[in-house]
Amino acid sequence: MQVQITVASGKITEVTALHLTDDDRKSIQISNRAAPLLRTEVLAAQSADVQTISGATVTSNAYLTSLQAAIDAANL
Amino acid sequence: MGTVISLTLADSPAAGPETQDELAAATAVVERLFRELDETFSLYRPASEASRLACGELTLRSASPEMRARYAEAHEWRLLTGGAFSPERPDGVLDLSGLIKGHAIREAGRSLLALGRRDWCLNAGGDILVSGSPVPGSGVAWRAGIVDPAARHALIGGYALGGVERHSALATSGSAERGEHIWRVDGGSDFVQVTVAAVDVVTADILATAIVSGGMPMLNLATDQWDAAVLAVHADGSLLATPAFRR
Repeated sequence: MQVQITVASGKITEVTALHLTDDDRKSIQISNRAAPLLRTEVLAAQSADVQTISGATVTSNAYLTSLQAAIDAANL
Repeated sequence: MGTVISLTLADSPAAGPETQDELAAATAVVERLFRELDETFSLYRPASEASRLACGELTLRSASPEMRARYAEAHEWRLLTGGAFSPERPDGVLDLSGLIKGHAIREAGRSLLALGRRDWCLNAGGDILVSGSPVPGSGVAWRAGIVDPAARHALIGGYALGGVERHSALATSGSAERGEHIWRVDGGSDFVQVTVAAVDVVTADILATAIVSGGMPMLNLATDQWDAAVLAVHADGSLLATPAFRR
């Protein structure tokens, strides 16, 4: 962020933001912080309308019962 | 790696029906890549190069260029994450498995592009990389669901990848399955699952692993330093998320 300062009698009397866009690193930092979220506030997804599933590393056995297996089976 | 890989290729109406040969070629190139990397890097195979390094039979100095390149890459990630991601286990054994799956997906993606495939979704053990769109040429994104760690047949949320969206990769790390896969640093988190979306799959995968290990400080580092969206699940089931995961 670029700022312009106004100095009068050796003191800063005003600070003006000249440039604050998403290109600006600091503004991304502030706007991208993680915050607590209720489950009802998360971007929703129904298993019927997703094409792929992300989850923690699963073994082949766990996979067999997973949603990804169901999706793959539906695509065959 | 013991990982199941799912490759979804979008039908391209303009190109006409896919021939079985084209589909087989795309599948074969992905399979071969994962198999070859597994043969080199698996610690479950006693004769692999990684196993021989781990037991001291082989030194890094005499290791293959591929092994040394991945070691260097893993070390760079250790620096970038302040040690939250590490290529060494607490007992000092070199273990690059935290990097290799992401690397394998990245390389498989490059191979698919080299084959001329533009619209696909590649999922290896829950880590995802996409290209293009499920409806080629439309800009429509692929839709990924994220598993609820407390109920593996339910989703806690979704995320759009590829198409007109900025992120092409999504990776999830957890402490529930393969508990030994991630070792927590002192004062680490109580995150049981962390999902990261990023521009590339290695970044997404490593940041997800690092946040499970390094907790809140690593989460803030990740969202400050990378173009990344994060959805983290605490042990009590409560959630933390960056704005991109908000409805």
